[in-house]
Amino acid sequence: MSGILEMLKMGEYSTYVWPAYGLVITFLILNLLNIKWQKKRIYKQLEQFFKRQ
Amino acid sequence: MWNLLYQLASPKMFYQISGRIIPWVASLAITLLFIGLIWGLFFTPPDYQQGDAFRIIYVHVPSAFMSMSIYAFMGFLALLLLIWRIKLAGIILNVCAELGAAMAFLSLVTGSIWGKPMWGTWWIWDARLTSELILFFLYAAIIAVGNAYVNKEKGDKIIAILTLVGLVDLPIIHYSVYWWNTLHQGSTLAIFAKPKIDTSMLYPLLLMILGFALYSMFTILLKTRNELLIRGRHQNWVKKLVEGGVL
Repeated sequence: MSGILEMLKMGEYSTYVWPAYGLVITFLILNLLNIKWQKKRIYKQLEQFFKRQ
Repeated sequence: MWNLLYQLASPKMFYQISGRIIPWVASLAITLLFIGLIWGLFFTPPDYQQGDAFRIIYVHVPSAFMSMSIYAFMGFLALLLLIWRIKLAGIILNVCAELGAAMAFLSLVTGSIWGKPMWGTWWIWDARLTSELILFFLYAAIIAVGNAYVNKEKGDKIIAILTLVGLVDLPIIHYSVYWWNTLHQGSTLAIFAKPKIDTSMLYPLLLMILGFALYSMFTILLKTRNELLIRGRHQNWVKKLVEGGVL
């Protein structure tokens, strides 16, 4: 347990290392979700577009 | 070769082929990123000078590398659009600009976070940092100009020209650490020279760079497919896809 805590502390740099990783991982996930949501929106828009035609 | 390129340039063909490639690229990207992250965070030894703060390299270098690689790729797309008039290149150009801007932003922020404990400051007007910031502004300008045009095809040509003009920033970023006396360290990796870091630290870095490259390819393909559907809504193949529910 103390070994894991020691690893998470990152020496004395945990306040720098974890936010950097957190930011990048958050971006990688949100970017993917955003593309997925965009696809859903486009699909609905196109369905309405073709119904109107 | 040219026939294959022209076939791929057809929106319908691109949509079909990319649909087959995406699952493979996505699986490989996620696997490499996962292994690279765990390896870099927990299984590499701390740096003898920087301690564990050096681990930021595993997110900073790949994002910086991608911010420049995506721009170089955009230069190639700009040529495809302006010389060979391949319209698909214009669509991918827009998609790449958004991802490139995000990568440049991540590179600047993670670099800043790394700089605080190592240099004692979040930011300095150093040649490498400033030229990377200019790259971010170039991306922002390309996105703004692209969005300003109602006629998207005309907008694509304008941003292609802007992209080609901005290419001059890439060698400046790369050689800034050699041309000027900078606080930023020299290149960690070079194609023709021996890497400056130990192999125990190098391998996860290479995995992360490859993971970021595949992730970028994966998201560019996904987003380009979305753009193709919007721009191709008057075409029959899009109508068939929507009515068949196979998007």
